This record gives sequence, C-alpha cells and structure tokens, in this order.
Amino acid sequence: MSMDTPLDLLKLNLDEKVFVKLRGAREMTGVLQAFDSHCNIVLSNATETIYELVDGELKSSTKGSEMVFVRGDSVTLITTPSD
Amino acid sequence: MLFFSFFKTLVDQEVTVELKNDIELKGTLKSVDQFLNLKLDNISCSNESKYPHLSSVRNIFIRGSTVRYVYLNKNMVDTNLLQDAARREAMSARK
Amino acid sequence: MSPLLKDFLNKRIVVVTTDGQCVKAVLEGFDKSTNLLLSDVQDRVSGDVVASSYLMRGNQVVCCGLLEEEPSLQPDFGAESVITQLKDTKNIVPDEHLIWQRVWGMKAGK
Repeated sequence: MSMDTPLDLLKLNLDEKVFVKLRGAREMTGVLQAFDSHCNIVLSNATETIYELVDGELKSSTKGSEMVFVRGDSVTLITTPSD
Repeated sequence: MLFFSFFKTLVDQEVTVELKNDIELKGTLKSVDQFLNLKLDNISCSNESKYPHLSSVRNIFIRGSTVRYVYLNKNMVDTNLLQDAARREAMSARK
Repeated sequence: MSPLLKDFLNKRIVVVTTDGQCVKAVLEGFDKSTNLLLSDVQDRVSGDVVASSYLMRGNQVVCCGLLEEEPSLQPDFGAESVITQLKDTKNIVPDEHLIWQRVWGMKAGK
C-alpha cells in the first residue's frame, strides 16, 4: 500500500484505538471509525479528558460516549495511544 | 462528502450537539448541508439553567463551523459500512 | 445553496454569535455563507434595541433559533437574578502549554 500523504496513515488506524489531542486543553481516546481530509473524525467508545489548572494544580475531568463525531478544526494531533 | 452523507443517514434521529461555546443541544436532526450546518427540531439545552438564551426555541439552525462534537448512539451507526466509506473517501481524496 | 435557513425567513429568531452575544431579530435574508440580514435587532437579555437593520457576517454566527410565538413560553429574563454571559467559541485556555507540559510529564512518569 502506498503511503504518500499523512492522512493515508490514518487509514491503517481505522478500527484501532487512537489518541486525539484537541483545542482547549482537551484530549479524546477511542476507536477510529471514520475520518476525512479536514480531520473530521468519528470515534466509538470514546473518552474525553478536559484538563485545567486550578490554583496551579492540574485537574482533569472525563466524559465517555459510545459514538461521537469530532469536528476537524478542533483536532490538533492524532496518534496511537502510548499505553 | 463522507460526513455530509454520514449525517444524512442520521436524519430523524436524536443527537446531542456540543458547540464550541460549551452549549449542549439535544434534538432531532432534521437536515444537514455540505458545510455540515445542522438543523435540529424539538431541542432541549442540557445546561439551560446556565444558558436560558435558547429557551422558547424549538427549531434551531447550527452553523457547522461552531460544532465541537456530535454525540450519537452506537445503534445509529453501521461501523463496517462507515469504515469502508472512510477508506474509499481516502482513496478518492488522494486523486 | 444552503436552504436550511429558508424556513426562518421573515420570522423572529434568536442569534448567538461567536463572541458570546445573543440577539433577537427578524431574518430578512441570508446567503450560502450564513451572512444574515437582520431587522429590528434587540439584545436577547436586556431587550435593548441594538439596531434597526444589521448585516451579520456568516463567520460570526453560532446558531439561529426560531422563536416560538406563544407568549407563555417567553422567559422573563428581567425576573431572573443573573444570566450567565455566553462564552465565545475561541476556546482559549490560559497557559494551555503549561497544562500540556504537566500532562505529558504526568504520562511519562507513569
């Protein structure tokens, strides 16, 4: 399979767990179901984590969803999870 | 065109849209266009007590560019079909 | 063309903008980039008249809701104590780079 664009790489991650970094100190992990050239994506079994600094201390809150569409303009990074 | 077609398959289903200004709107998806602008009917705002601005609104147009997430139910989506469509989209986008 | 707004033409609508403003107005016209021509524009919360006619750029529009006519449904904002100011859509988190520094550090430490 030829791999000449970055988005071709994402094809290999379909049906695999991915880690997505988002604008506004958010990240999301889930199973990649679809993507397009704008980085619009659909994840299943997704967990969103929102980070914030409260008095210099890092706080995070998570939210799960069984299927979610993420608009591409919020996406800053897509990778495979490190763990 | 992948997600335009995708949202068209979701018409008449109940979805929850989270906007970039943190407002969450739940309603029945009525239409979508190529910019992924959405129209929802019978909306309720999940944080209405905080943002009452949209009370007494039932039918709403949402500009696609201000959407952060659209939450769906698992049973609305045929994941095999969607993944195949994504592969085909990636092929055609490359040209 | 985006005919999604056609049903709202000449009707009273609520418009939320990307900078967190909220107005009610009559939709006189629109185009495919959601540029809106509005008339009789009032602030949604205070009811103050903003302008008699207004051309709103499409990239400022977050959403447009059709105002239901029934007067009983109209919330009396004046009676409520504090209306939370709507957020903008920029999602700027102060010191986001510091947050990520801490997050990555935490993950690497695991």
